[in-house]
Amino acid sequence: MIVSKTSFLLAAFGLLVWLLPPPCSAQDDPGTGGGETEPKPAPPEGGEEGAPPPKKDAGEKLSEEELKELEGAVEEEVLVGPEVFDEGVKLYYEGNFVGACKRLWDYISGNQPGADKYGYAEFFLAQSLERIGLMHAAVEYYYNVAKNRTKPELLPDALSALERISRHHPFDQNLILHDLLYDSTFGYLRRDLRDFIEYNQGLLDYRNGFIRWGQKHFQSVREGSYYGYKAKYVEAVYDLVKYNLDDALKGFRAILDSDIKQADVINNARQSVARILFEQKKYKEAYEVYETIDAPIEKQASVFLEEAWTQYYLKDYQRAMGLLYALEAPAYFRYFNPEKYVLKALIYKNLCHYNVAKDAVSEFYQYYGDAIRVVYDRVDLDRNEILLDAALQEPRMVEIGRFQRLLDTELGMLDGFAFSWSENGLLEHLNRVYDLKIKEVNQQLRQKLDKALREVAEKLLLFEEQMNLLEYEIGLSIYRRIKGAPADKEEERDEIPYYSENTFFEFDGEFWNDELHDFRFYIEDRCFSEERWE
Amino acid sequence: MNATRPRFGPVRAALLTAVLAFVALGATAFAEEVEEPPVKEKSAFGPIQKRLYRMDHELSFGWSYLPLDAYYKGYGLALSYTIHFDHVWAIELVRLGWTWNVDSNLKTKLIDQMPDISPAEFPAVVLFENTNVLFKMLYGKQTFLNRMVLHFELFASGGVSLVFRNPFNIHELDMENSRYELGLNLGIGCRFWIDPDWSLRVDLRDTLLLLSFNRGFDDQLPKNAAEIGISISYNL
Amino acid sequence: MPPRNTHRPAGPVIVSICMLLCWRLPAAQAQEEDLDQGRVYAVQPRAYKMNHEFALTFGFLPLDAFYKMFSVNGHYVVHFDDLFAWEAVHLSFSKYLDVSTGLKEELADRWDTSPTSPEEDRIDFTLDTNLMFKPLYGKMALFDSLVIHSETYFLLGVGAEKFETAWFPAIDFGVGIRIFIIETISARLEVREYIHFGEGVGSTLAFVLGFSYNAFAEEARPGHSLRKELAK
Repeated sequence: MIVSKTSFLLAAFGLLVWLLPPPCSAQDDPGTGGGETEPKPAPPEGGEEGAPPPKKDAGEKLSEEELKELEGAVEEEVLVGPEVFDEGVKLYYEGNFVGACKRLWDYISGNQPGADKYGYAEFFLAQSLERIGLMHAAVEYYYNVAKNRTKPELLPDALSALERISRHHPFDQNLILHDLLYDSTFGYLRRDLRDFIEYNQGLLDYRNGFIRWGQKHFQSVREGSYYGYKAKYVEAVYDLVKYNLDDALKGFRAILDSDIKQADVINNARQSVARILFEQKKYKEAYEVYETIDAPIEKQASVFLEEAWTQYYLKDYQRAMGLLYALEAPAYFRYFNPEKYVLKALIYKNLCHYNVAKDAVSEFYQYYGDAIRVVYDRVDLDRNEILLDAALQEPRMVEIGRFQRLLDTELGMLDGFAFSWSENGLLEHLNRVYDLKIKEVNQQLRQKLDKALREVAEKLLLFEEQMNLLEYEIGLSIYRRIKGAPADKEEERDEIPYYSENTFFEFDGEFWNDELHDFRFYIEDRCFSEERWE
Repeated sequence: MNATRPRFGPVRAALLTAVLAFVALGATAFAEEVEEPPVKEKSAFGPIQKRLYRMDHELSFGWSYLPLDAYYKGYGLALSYTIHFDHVWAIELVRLGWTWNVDSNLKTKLIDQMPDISPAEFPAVVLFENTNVLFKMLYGKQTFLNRMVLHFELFASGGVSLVFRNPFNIHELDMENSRYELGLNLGIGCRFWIDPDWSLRVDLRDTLLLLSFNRGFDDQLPKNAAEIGISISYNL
Repeated sequence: MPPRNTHRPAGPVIVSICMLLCWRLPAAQAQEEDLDQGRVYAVQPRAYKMNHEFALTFGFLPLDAFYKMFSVNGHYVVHFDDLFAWEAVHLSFSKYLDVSTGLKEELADRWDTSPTSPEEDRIDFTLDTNLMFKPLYGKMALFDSLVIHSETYFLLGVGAEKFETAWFPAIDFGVGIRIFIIETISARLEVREYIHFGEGVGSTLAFVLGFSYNAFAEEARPGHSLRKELAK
């Protein structure tokens, strides 16, 4: 039962951390450990991979001026006429977004924020930057338009753009969620924008523990809308975290019974339902729900593992082991998964293949031995690659990592516009905006990395304990067999037919995605009369 | 404020309002468009996460057969070197072949029965060189009676060919009747992997000889030369 | 006189494939004995099953020196199971579908000679019946993006070939690949070699490409439609 409980706690932990990411992570699979296959975020600036993160330094805090610049509030004395703005807008409508940026920046940098068309200029600049693919810069200017509201008529469009970007790209969550959506009051807005705002305000209330306020916000979100379902999902996850399994199940089932079309929400809900059913020991039903999950293969690592546990409890070891083999696929190379070895050893043990079961224990130590030693030796945890890698896979870290990569990519893209933008200072300005944001994000990464590393280390020690226990049990079983069990028995061998309704592709190291759910492990059952170990 | 800046005239104001209304409408439409994200999430992977068999630098050696000429049948050997760029594209940098030609019944009869016909009038492919682009359309596997998995790929090839034709085989060449020709290749082929390093390759290709370097475009051109090749390949 | 063509290029191809299979089969057998080490299989329901197949294909017969022949073929195949089928009827029509290679004219122009009735070598019809053995089934990735299913089959049969002069008994063998497009439609590409007997022995090679309609496909998969319904 240790394993079952652990599995559930991990699952609940996964769900809890899902509450952390913002709506943009809707594209990820929060319930599945959120981007477990995401590329590794680059180590924080100033430290090589594997090196300890530099200590927080007061001197590294961003200055007032830098923060001001981050918000795009650059004040220049030179005044530029509205014809420059008109030219920028014209270029925008002609599809010349690079030229539009140039002229609109001429206007912005040459005028005070109070200038007549300043708000419009920022809006069109944001639109142009978005079209070019500089999402972060666009977000900064949409934020200005929505926050300062010098042109209130642009607020819906700016919010709409932010909503759009937040769904499909990593973005500055502190800026948009905390500074803009959570801390601001908006007047009358379109229904869809109100849903977006209410959902995020509710989500942040839940995160901060203000559940009643959160519920109030969620009540204002339209039922049946994208954010309506997401709100329901958050409520159900909260029930799950509180261990109100029946309520949580009801909540998730309600989402699944609705006519929702968003695959990410559906798959998260399915996985949550399966987890609850598993916890309620309804393994068959849980397995059936797991099988309906249709997320991209790279987001299914936790699905495979949980499904393997379900099959283990259903005593279908062929299938359980097959699912563990699926976890060897390259897409899950970075998936922190010590639990796999526990399950592997258990399966072998249940089939009375004691030597191979012991091999699975050895395999665990072979892979995680160094990491465990680092934890015991109290050496800096981030010096161990496995621990560092696992910590960087924590959903929150992945989220920040994704944003960091976006910033890096877009900073790299800026060079391509040097010819058009260097003359009027836009290039320099954007370079600075990105540099500062990267610094800030790196700081965040460093802060969160310590916590994530500690959590990973604790998790690893927990599995080490289970492995030790298992090793002892395996030894005991070997001893029992030597002492009294019969030495021979008729083998129960599963024959593979030459042809049948099913096709058998022997696994040879090639991973076809459509096969991962269909792996079966064929091995003889060597147990005689002894009871299987539970 | 810039004193010289023209005031916001009513016409321009109306125009800007119209433009902004258009923008607002457009943005709304865009927002509605993205309101429904795709029903199925996209995967970053194709159907195969990791191929067991992939080629990099391929050296192959094998047997070739030129069956189509009415006057002779060619049996030969071919050696080729192919660079594989990725799973889809490769370039067969060079494929050198030598052919031993056996006279067909028709040729023998003609020479026997018509004394004025000289053997020199039947140039046959003796040496050839192909440079082709390979387009590897399909990669797959099949299970043989559920016991054994066979991996294979199907590809199309196209490129140019340099051909040396002579009426006689290599040991008795008649250089006066030699032809140096250029042609275009088109073909299909398949590969069966034996293990990650070794594979069996079958090529069917047709060369259309278009131009003779030493005789120009004469009545012997254009001419088809089809080849069937079976070779063993080693992945360097 | 029956036409002669002693060149059989399909033979080496088929022999090579068989050799390849034989090469790897002992290894597969050896692996079977290692089952106690545990082996992993991807066990997937066969995505497509054939039942009553009606096919329309087009053939190309390249080996005649005087004429390149084309053919229109009709096939009816009863699939007993996933391994064996019987191509009950294969009728190939080639009459009038010939293209001269120009050899006859060349002989006349260059040497003022003409062969004795090369037209006699032209095939009018072929009628045969074949056993179809389908030991290989699998899938392919098209352009590294789309998965399509396929099977490889071997043919062995008897029949007759009608040349301009007479019918001649023949045996034939071949190899082909079927690519499943949807449950009822598949494409087949095959190479067939006919060996006919008369006063002498001659052969005909045909490359065939066409499409098949799988009639009563649902019946071949009892429970399949129910499964589909349930999946929905």
